[in-house]
Amino acid sequence: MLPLQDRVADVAEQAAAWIVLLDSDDEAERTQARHGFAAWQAQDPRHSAAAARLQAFIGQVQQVRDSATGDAQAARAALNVAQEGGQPSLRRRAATRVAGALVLIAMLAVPSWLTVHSYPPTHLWADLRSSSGQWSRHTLSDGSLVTLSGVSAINWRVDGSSRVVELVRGSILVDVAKDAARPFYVQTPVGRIRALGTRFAVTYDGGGMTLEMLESRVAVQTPSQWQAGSRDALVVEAGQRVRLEAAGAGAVENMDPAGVEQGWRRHQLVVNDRPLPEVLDQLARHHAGPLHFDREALAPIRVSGVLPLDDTAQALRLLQNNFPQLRMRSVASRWVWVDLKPAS
Amino acid sequence: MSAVETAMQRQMRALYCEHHGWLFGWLRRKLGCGHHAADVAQDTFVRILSSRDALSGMREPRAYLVTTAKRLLIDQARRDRIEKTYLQELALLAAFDQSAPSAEEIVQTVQALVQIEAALEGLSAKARQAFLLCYLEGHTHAVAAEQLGVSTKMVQKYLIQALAHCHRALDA
Repeated sequence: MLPLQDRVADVAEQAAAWIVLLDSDDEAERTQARHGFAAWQAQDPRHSAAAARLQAFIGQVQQVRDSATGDAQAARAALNVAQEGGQPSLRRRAATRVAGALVLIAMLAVPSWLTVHSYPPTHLWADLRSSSGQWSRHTLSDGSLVTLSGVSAINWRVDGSSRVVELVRGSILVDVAKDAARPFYVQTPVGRIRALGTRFAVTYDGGGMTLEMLESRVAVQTPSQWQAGSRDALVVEAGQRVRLEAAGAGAVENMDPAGVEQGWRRHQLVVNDRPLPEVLDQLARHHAGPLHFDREALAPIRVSGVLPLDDTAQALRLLQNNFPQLRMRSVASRWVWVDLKPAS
Repeated sequence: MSAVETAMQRQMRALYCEHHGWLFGWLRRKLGCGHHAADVAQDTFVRILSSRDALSGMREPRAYLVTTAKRLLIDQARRDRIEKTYLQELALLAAFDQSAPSAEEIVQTVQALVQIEAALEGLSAKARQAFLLCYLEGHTHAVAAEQLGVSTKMVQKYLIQALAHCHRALDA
């Protein structure tokens, strides 16, 4: 008896069938599928989760086509070779192009780090995931945009009355699509943000959640408030930042929204007077190996500045230069331990 | 919490100290190249550390290390093949004056291709072709049907098969 397995396979197949019909060549069939798909998704959160996962995957595939490199033919050839497991054949076009190609292969001989760099195991799409050193942008099924940075993961649920992003771990930048009928929530174990149409960044590191408002405003509730159905909420406006922990919300502070925007665009961490462990939590999600640190000993150190997230070694060097009392030890520059130098 | 971290650090350090030399020797014999062996040995430990069941294989550490290293080599070979073909094809296109992408863009695309390949692994050839024609190349169902020499309904059936397969692969 495999009722659970059967159901999961069933749901995936149904989701696949709807998604295929949404792209049907026949307009009447497409329209019909849109209505049917919406109703089917509203039936059960597992339906919309399965559909969201597949749509995210298709989005990734299409992104290869749309990206600046975007030659689907080159991508297709690479995948065909991967399947055959053999050497690439230069195929029919080659005869006319091969002379110029030989020179250009040499020119395209990209830096050696490209070939020696290894990536973490591929578990990117659990609902939506990104891995260290990665920045990925997704369009959710309601049209909202989400950017994930470093090792981050979210679950996405949508039904007739609400849209919910569960931030499992990491940092996201959210551009909420306007939909007055269905509020948009970002949820973690320590708090819930309610938005209608706005732009903000949220980071959840296990210890707490940080909200940075870029445009408009949102309402924030603690778990006990939303579970009790309370109408009380903390309103956070553009240019404000607040941290929530299990004990509740901290003070609302002012921040520079342009700086935060720029950080997301340039892959930088912009911090103003934050405890070092909070900063290291963020760096750890971008570092290609494990980064451990003595949370308690480092807590009194406050950091302000801009750190490069795509080059964590450089970020750590900057921290070391600014805080000579730190001791950083590393193995092969990937495993890093940070604590305080022993008092001499 | 910091006590837990320290215990794990200690355990990882012990694993590294006791077995890194042995794994390196095993890989050097297998690969016949000291530099490559050193890289793979290092990556094996990094992969174990970044995997969710980091400490589950510690009872038979050497067998666990060898399995992880072998999987890593297979993944690397696949990645290298994808990357090499992609670069060759791009070079062919560049010969016709299309703008060359940056190294960063190439890395991103190759990484995406590796992940797509992993999701499609084990899928039937027809379903795979249908998937790539429609989603990667952006053809309509009718065009895909013509290229594959089957009906539009059949293309849709292949696509459903392909997506359900990917869903399972993404779950794994």
